[in-house]
Amino acid sequence: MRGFELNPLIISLELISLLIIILVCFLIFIKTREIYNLSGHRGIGFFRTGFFFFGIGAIINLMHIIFIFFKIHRELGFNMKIIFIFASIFTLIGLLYLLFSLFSKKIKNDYFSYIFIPIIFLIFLFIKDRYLISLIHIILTIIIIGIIFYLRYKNNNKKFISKIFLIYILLFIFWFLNSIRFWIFDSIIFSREVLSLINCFIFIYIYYLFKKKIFKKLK
Amino acid sequence: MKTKRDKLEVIYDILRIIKKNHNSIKPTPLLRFSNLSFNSFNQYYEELIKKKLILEIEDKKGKKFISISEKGFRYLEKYNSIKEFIKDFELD
Repeated sequence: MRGFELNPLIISLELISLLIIILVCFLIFIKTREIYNLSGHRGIGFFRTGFFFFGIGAIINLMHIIFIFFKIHRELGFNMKIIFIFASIFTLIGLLYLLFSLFSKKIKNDYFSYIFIPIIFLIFLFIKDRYLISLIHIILTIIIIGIIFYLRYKNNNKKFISKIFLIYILLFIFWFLNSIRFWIFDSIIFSREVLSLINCFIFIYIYYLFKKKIFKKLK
Repeated sequence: MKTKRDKLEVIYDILRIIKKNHNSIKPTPLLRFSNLSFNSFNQYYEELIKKKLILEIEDKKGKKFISISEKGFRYLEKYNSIKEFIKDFELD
């Protein structure tokens, strides 16, 4: 890895980005609690669960940075690979839940959504190798995006490309770039910061949409 | 032709009928006004009771009446917001 550990500016930038993402995720999760309790709507359930897992993933990423910056992992003999894997898994689960929310009517059985979490955990924990996990990320990304576009194409009620759909696809792409960054991008100056910033801006934009359309009406 | 009502809309209609009747209605007229089959009505009725959106009240003569709970009134209040949220974030 390049000199990320010693650069306080990059660390600060990443910390701020992650704190904003955590705040946005948990605000959305908390603010949608009432409408979910009242309606019991599965789409809303998937939507808020997605942001919950995103928040957890961001917290683990935050821990990852703090551990590296203060060299806590060396003192505790902590394996940073495990933290990387966990952050990646939780973010992936969050993303999948967000995408499920777009197709909640197509998912007839709720058990389907519960089964894939332990499967992803087992696959990632069993492999442990970061490079192999990145390869799985690539395969998963291609498969999932393929399925999403196919389902979208089959669903005639919705516009094929909408604002929300594009945002979710962007989030997916940035998760993918983030998970393979050490493989390709860490040699490129500023790549890590750029990814963090863009990711953060996407979350700020989602929050803006949420605030603009929802918060006013939910008061 | 009117499109088929979704689940949220049916629940909203049932609650609105109860409210219109001064928050107290017997099950039979509620079934009639709700425009549902007997089986569908029973399913919705069970669900509304389970979710605590409506309450069953018996008078002194043992007659059963249905009224909206506090949560049910909250549902009526938030219905439009919930529908718009679902529409805006394409959750339907």
